[in-house]
Amino acid sequence: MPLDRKRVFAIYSEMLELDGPERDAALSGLCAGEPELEAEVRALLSAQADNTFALSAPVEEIRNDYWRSVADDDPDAGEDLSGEHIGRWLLEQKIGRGGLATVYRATRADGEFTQTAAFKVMRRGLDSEDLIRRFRTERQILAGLAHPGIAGILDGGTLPDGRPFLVLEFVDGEDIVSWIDGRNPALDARLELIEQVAEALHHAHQRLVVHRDVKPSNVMVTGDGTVRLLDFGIARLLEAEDSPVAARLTRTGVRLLTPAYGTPEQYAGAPVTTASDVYQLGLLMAEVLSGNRPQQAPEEAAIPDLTGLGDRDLRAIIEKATRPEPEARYPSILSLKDDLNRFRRKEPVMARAGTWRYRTGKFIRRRPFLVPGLMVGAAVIAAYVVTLTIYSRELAREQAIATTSQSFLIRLFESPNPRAPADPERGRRITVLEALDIGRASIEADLAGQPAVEAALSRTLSAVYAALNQYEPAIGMRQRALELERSLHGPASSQALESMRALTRLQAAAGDLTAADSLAREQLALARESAESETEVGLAEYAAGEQAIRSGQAGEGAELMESAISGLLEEQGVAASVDTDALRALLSETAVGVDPSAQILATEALIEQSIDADSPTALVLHAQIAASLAEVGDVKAAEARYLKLIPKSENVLGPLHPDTLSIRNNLAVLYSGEGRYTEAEAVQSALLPAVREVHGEQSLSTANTLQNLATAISRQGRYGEALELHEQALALYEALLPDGHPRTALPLVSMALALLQMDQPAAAELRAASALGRLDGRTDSIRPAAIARCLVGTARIRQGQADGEALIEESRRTLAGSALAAPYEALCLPGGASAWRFHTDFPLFFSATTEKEEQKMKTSTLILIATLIPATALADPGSQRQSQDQSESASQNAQAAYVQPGPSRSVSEFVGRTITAARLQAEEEVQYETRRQVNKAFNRLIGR
Amino acid sequence: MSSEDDGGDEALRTLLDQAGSGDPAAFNQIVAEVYPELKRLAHYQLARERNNHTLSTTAVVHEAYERMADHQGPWQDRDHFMRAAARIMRHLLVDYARRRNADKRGAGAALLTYEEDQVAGSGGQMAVLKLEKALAELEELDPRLVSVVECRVYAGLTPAETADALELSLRTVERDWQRARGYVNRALAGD
Repeated sequence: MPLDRKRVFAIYSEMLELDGPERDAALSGLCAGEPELEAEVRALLSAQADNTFALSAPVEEIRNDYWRSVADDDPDAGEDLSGEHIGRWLLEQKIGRGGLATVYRATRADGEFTQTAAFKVMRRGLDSEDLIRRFRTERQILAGLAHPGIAGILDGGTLPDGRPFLVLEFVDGEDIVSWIDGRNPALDARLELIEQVAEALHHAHQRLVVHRDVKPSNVMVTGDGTVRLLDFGIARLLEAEDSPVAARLTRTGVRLLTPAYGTPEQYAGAPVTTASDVYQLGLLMAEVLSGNRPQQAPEEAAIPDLTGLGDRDLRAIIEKATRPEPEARYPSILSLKDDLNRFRRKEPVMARAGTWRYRTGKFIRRRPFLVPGLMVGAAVIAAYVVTLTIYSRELAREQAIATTSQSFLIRLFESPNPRAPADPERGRRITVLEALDIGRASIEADLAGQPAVEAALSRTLSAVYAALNQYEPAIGMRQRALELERSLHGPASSQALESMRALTRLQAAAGDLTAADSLAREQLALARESAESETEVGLAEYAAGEQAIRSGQAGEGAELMESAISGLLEEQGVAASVDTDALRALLSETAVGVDPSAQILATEALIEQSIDADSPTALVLHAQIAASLAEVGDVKAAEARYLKLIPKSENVLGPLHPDTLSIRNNLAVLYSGEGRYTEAEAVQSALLPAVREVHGEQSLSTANTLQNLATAISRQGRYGEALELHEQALALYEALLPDGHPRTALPLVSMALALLQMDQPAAAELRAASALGRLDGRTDSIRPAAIARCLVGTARIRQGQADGEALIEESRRTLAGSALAAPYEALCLPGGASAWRFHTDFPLFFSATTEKEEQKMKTSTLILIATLIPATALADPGSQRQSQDQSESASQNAQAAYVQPGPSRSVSEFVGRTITAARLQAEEEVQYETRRQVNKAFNRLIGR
Repeated sequence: MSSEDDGGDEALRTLLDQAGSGDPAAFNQIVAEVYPELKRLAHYQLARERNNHTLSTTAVVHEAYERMADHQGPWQDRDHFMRAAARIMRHLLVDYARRRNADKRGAGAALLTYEEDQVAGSGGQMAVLKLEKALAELEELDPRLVSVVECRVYAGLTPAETADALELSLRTVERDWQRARGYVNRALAGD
């Protein structure tokens, strides 16, 4: 008879309420005569006594198993983030799905303003480290590009699950091929589109970014016929060529290419350079002109199909762009574009000129499928190896240093990643300084056995520390660099001597004049005894001269500097190209103190002689002239020049190029200096959004622009408005600079002045005192501190506090003879010489020079400048590292070198911006000091 | 994973109808909303914890509620939601275990050749199926115990959370859990 399960369970439940003997007794009673019942209940009770739930573990196992299956099974099938709010963005609709990412149309949801954007999020399941890094790279790359032909980046971040996303400018249009299909435009219109693509690519190449995936679906045409280049997803920074990530991607066989537009080097696994973009632009041009998709054999590069394209010149251009050997193609996008222009002007195109000496391959290209693919590939590789060997023997070492340094710096600045376990407490709000400290701590451990890299990095970190006024670590790092350089290159090597000069300056800046003195003597003795060249001796004398002047030995200093300059002139006059760095150092160290009118003459002569008038180099020299003109007081001429330069610069460099922005800023500063505050305000307020776009909200440039704009507004009596902007500038400075940095005092001083003018002395005193606290006692801020002190004093007097007088008196002693901006002069130097010119809120410029002195300076420095500038301009190409452009003329290289001044741009956005800002700052401050010293030295020279 | 297939959905609905909400239509709506959300969250969490491939179901369920609470879903309150989620999880896992078991026996073998090792190494699906059988029996004896097991085992709720979800006293939940534990342990041992 089967047991009644209900009864068994009821008895079992009842028994659970009882214990031990009680339970036994009750159970025996209830089950009397039914041993099977009793046995079953006992079995249940003993199963229950086992405290574990037998199935917990297996169920958990199946649960994990299940989740895994959910995850592995078409990760994105269920995902639709439409309707989600992510950060400031509301995702509206899925509009596309690529291999790596899903794209949504999104609108900005924070109510600030309406903006449509493309929200690109990495697909689930793909979020491996490499791919996340690539996503980040795309973000960095895009952040560095600002061109109307490139869909820019608006925002970026990570989803709660850690997947990165990018928010890009939404391009409302269709891809170039569909656009053409729908409209069938004339040849000229098609060429116009290709030129626009070329311009966008050129912009990227100037920043050493290779797109690597130029194809119709990445080239959109908007309703008004303008082209936008999309998807820098597999773009690459040229200098990151040998980065560990890139190497790993190649090794693991993740080949990143679009088959229909794949280039020979992409298939061969050879380095991908700007030449790849030239190739793909050639393919695109063929498709846009002929309507034919490129031809492609399996596992081989795509080649253009020119069927139906009759024009021999256009065929030649496309063929030249799509040569299998990268070095046989157009050397740059720009030269391709030039050829297109020649075609449109009906001039002979370069592609057909014999000068290109393209001999091999015609046969191959005509019958592409008859030749085994391997052969093409092998030829490409062989060509590459040869090119690289010749070119890079010299650069290899430097490049290795640069690459390692760069990845180290990237890691350094990635370490504050809040998700990284290393230091969870610090989290996201880690400061640059902390990041640097982390880097300093790991530098030796990470770079053991790579002394050259460690030396280079130590130098860089030292410079950054110095820029942040952290002299102690700056000195420490530079000493370490010196130690390494001595053992690597020898104690009298140019590297070691350079470090000793830098250390001299750092010690002086840190206030240890004794240490600086002894270093200065030591390096001078060393250089005189065993330096490799007279240039080194000159530089050593110069540094020693500087130091002598700093420690009050004016006579000795002047002598040394005179000897340095004549020595350097002689040496460099003989062999101007011997040492570019020395020349540049000399130029920057001396030229800033040199009479501006001499600079004007020199640069103008230079431009006429040797530089293409439309080149970026010429542009900057013209800007320099304008600045110099303003400095010598020829404001009219300076203004005229700026007004002419701005449209030119917008055209040549681009409207958002940092230098275009600088020129506009300089014009505004000139207006301010002239008391033309409405005009200054107009320029600055137009500039502000552009600066924000280019440098970002959280940047010193934005802070500076806010500060300048506020000052112009304040001078017009709109104090309330000005105060708000000063506050914003202050907040940015405080967020971006270390605590107590003198720059943070600047808006405080301005605010104090405005508040005094608003008759709010108590509030003014608060600001001025805060500024004074930040400036007082700093050797680099003596006069700004005096101004703050004067403002504190004035504020106290206005509140009826007599002790204000003493403060004003103290500040006057410091400020006597200085050039101050008008309102400060009125407050702090009443009756002071009105002849002083002013340029900014703080006087950093020349003391008055008599005409006679000016004349002397002009003659003594004209030669110097004229000698140095051409050498420097011509030497620039040497610092260029774009291997593919070897055949370009020196001037083209010089242009590129200017627009892309150095490897720093390829470092991640954050590192780049931080360090650049820091360096600029360093330069600015060093310049101030140097300017003063040099000026003194010159005055002494001239006075004798 | 194709739990959305008709049979599965139907079974799920029946299961939920039995959950005693008194409003099958509302429960169906819960299924329609909660189920995809759970799956989505599972993706998220797994992506986050990719390295160890384990996932806290409790976290999934709680997060699902947090995320869906704003949407004014058909559930009356958090307890109701938890109850439904626990039942949904039970359904998902049972369904999954059935399919895995079928795969192991050879159905769809062509697709699963790689997974043989993994499948062979896992007794999980058998345990889930046994548990399901035990729960079916238990359902006849005392449906409340089944709800307790669902909450604790499938949704991973604590006894206190289970008490809230089922609107029972903590003491009752503890007692029910003990009673169920004996029954289930015994059912497994007795096979």
